[in-house]
Parts: sequence; structure tokens; C-alpha cells
Amino acid sequence: MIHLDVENLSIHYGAICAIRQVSFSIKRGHIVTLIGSNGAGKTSILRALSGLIQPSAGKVVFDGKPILGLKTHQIARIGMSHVPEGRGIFLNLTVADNLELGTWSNRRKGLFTEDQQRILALFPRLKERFSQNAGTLSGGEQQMLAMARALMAYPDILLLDEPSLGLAPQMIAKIFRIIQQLNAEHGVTILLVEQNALQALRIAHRGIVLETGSIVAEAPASELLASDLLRQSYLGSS
Amino acid sequence: MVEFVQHVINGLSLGSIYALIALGYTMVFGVLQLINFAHGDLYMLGAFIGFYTSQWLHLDDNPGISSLLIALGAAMTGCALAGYIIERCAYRPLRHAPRINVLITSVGVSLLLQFSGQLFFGSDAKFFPQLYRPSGMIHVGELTINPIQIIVFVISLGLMIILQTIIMKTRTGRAMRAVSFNHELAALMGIPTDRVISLTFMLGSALAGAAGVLVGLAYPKIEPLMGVMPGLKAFISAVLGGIGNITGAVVGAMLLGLAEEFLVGYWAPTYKDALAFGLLILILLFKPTGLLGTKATEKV
Repeated sequence: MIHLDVENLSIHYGAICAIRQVSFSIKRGHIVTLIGSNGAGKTSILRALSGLIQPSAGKVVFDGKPILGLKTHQIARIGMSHVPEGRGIFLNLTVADNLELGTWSNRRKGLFTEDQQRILALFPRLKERFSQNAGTLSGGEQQMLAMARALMAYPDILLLDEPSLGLAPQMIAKIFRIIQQLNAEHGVTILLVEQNALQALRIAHRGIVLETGSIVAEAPASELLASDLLRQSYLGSS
Repeated sequence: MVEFVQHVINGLSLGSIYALIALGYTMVFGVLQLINFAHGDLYMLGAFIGFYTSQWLHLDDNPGISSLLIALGAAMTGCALAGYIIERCAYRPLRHAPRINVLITSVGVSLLLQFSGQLFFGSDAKFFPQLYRPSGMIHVGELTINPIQIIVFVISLGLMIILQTIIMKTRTGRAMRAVSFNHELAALMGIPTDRVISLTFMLGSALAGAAGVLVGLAYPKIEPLMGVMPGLKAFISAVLGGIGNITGAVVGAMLLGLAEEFLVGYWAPTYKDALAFGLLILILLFKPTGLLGTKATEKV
């Protein structure tokens, strides 16, 4: 079943075309990774999906409903959580306040305390830092906080923008494990934007390769991993 | 010594009025990075709403705390509404415009309020009704205290505590802090940022309205241009404390109130207004982030 359907999406910044007629769809319960080099337009696509920028053309259907033109907070409230690039932590607030803000778009109105327990079980580190200012967390902890906060809303779909950026290899492995766990155990559909293509493809069901605003390949992740061409041109030679 | 304490009391009373206005400047700056120059004129509007409400309800026939609170409530409600309309009509359409455009618009709104004030209220000064008539001065030892100063101080303090509670303890307050950190991020959380900005304007404007009535009580001459100087001084207070910082606004305002009072009492009363601007120049030269301000956090 199609969870998110993107049709002929185009994005312009002034006269510059950043995304040219991109179409793809994501099945419910899948992890799909959007990979490609710097400036390929990955972040632009995520920003358009969550209403932060208005695309110049195209159609986005989420859960059977067109969502283009909705405001960002409205999109958040129908079950799409976007963890932006650079984690997007409110550095001026405590860890607890950050998590509480995540419940703003909580449609099931679960009790905050229940939420806390459910989420914090996945992120034991955050529990220790609960009343600490979020600005004092390490990069990896901030990434965990960003994901935990996104989950406070019980999202149907999670958009993750470069969650591994700037993290130590060990922390990256941990983050990827949590992503897998969210998908497998909690049934969250995930759109993962990554530069770390190899690792992303290893946990994803499907991969989409983006190059200067257009899709150049879309296939099951295992196929992309096996493809020599892609390994050479987009994934590095490791 | 008695004289010194007297000056401290006067200074705090004056400072608390600056603080009420400064809070609005700093809150609006927090969420929009905008110096809302029309803010001082909302304080004038508050004084006039208090004036006309008192006339209409004959509140000065029955002076006392309850009359004062009615006028205060009317001014705060009226100013909150005015603040909402100003933000909705003048600033929201410019949300994505360069910041300087919004700044100039705020000067325009300020002039609009001042001269509509002259048009509708008349340009001559009016005498603010005595909503509270103290039966006499309070004597503590050799000290003489005007009860009105105590009332001004207590009501201001009460309003500041309520504001602080809203900002620090409520869901809405947390949303305001989130919006002031970053609009986009707040929206991604599902926070309706426009509504939060409106609410911030309304809260700030209500405090300015309250300041208008309290000033009417303490210095009962009101006129349509009365907002200019206190508005600027409150703005200076906010900069002094670190604009965008709530505690800073209060600290800055109290310091300015005390400094003005000491200057007038001990040295050179004619330099009262120059002091504030001198302080502004000094703070911008040597500590532009203000006493309690921090450098804007670089967003990674």
C-alpha cells in the first residue's frame, strides 16, 4: 500500500531549478533512502514534503490526501515528522522541554508520561539528561533527542535528514540500529536522506539515487548495493 | 540615609513602569527579531482606554482598588486587541520581507497611533481620573511613602510574575520560546507559529496597556504623544538588559529607573533624559549584547 506518493515534483529557487519533475512513492512500513552527492536536492525534497518550501509544480499525496499547500504545522499534525538537517534541537530549552514540544502534533493525545516511558526506553541516555539544557548534549545525544522528539508525535512517517552527519562511527551505528528498530518494531515508515549511502542502503528496503535534481536510479536497496556502476559513481569505491 | 531609601523607592516605582513596557519590546524581539517602535504608543493607548473607561463607568466616583483593576483590565484587553490588529495587518504580511522593511513599518505604525490619538482624543493633555485616592502618606520612621508607588510596584511585579509563569511553565510559553529560537523548527513540531506570534504581541501589548494606566495613576497627565519618551526609555532598558531576554528587560528597566532617580535627586535633574541615551551609547559601544544577553547562537 502506497503511504507517500510524489508526482512530478519540481522546485525552483528563483530562476534556478533545484528539483526537476521527480516522482517516487513509498510503501507503508518501508525504509526508503534518498541518496546522492552534495547539492543533488535531497534536502529540498524533504523541505517541500513538510511544507517548509513551496514547490513550483507537482503533487504530493500522503495517506490518500494531497498535502501540497498545507502549512508546515498542519502537515506535522497529520502524522509526518521531519527531523531536519543539523538535528534541529532547541538549544535554549531543556531536554524535557524539547520532548514536550514533540507532543504538539500528537494526534492520539497520549499521556506525556506514557510517551516518555515508551520513547526513553529506546534512548536511555536521554533519561539521565532530562532536566539538562539541550545545548549541553553531545552531537550523538542531540541526534537521539531529535529522533525521540519526533517520535513523541506517534508519526506515521519519519523524514530523517542526514542523521549521521558529524557523528562518530560508533554513534552512527547506534543511530542506524534505532532507525531499524523503529521501523521493524513500531511500524514507522521512514524516508532517510543520507550521504553515507552504503550504510543507509544496508538498512533500507529501497533506494533512490538523486543527481542534480533528477532521479537517476530507483531500485530495491540490495540491487543498488550490488550494482557496480552505482558503487563507483555515487557510493565511493569501498 | 532616609533620602537614599526614598530615592530607591521612587526609582523602583519608575523602573517597574519601564519594565512593563520593556517586556513587550523584548518579547516581540524574541519571536520576530523586530524592534516594534509602535510599542510605546500602545502604552499611550492604554492610558487613554483607562481614561475613557473611567469616564464612561464613573470609576472616579468610587475610587479604590476595584475601580483601578477595572480600568487596568479594560486597558489591557483593549491594548491586546490593538496589538493583535497591528501584528495581523502591518507585520504579518511582511513576514518574509527584509527586516528593515518591517522596522520602517513599525515607525509608520507608531506615527499612525500618535496622530490618530491627536485626532480622536484631542492634542491637549487630559487629567487622568484619580482611581485610587490614598488617605495619606505612609510613614515609616522618617520615611514618607506614597501608597500609589507601592500599588504601582506591586501590580507591576504581579504582572511580571504572571508573565514569567506563562513563559516558563505553560505549554504555550514553551511554544513561544520554541518560536523565538527558530520559526521553521517550531512549525515542524506542529506549533502554529503565526498564532504564537499573535499571542506574543497580545501579551506584550497588554503589559504596555497596564503601564499606561499605572502611569496615569502616578503622574496623572496624559496626552497622545506621551508614549514617545517612555517608549524609548523602555527600549533602552531592554537593550541594557540584553534584548530578547525577559529577565534582562526587568533588570535593565529597574537599573534605568534607579539611575534616573539618583541623577535627579543628587546631581543634575536636567540631564534625566540624556542619561538614558548616554547609557544606550555606552552599552552599544562596550557590551552590545546587554548585561544578561548572550551572543546569538549559531545554528548548525
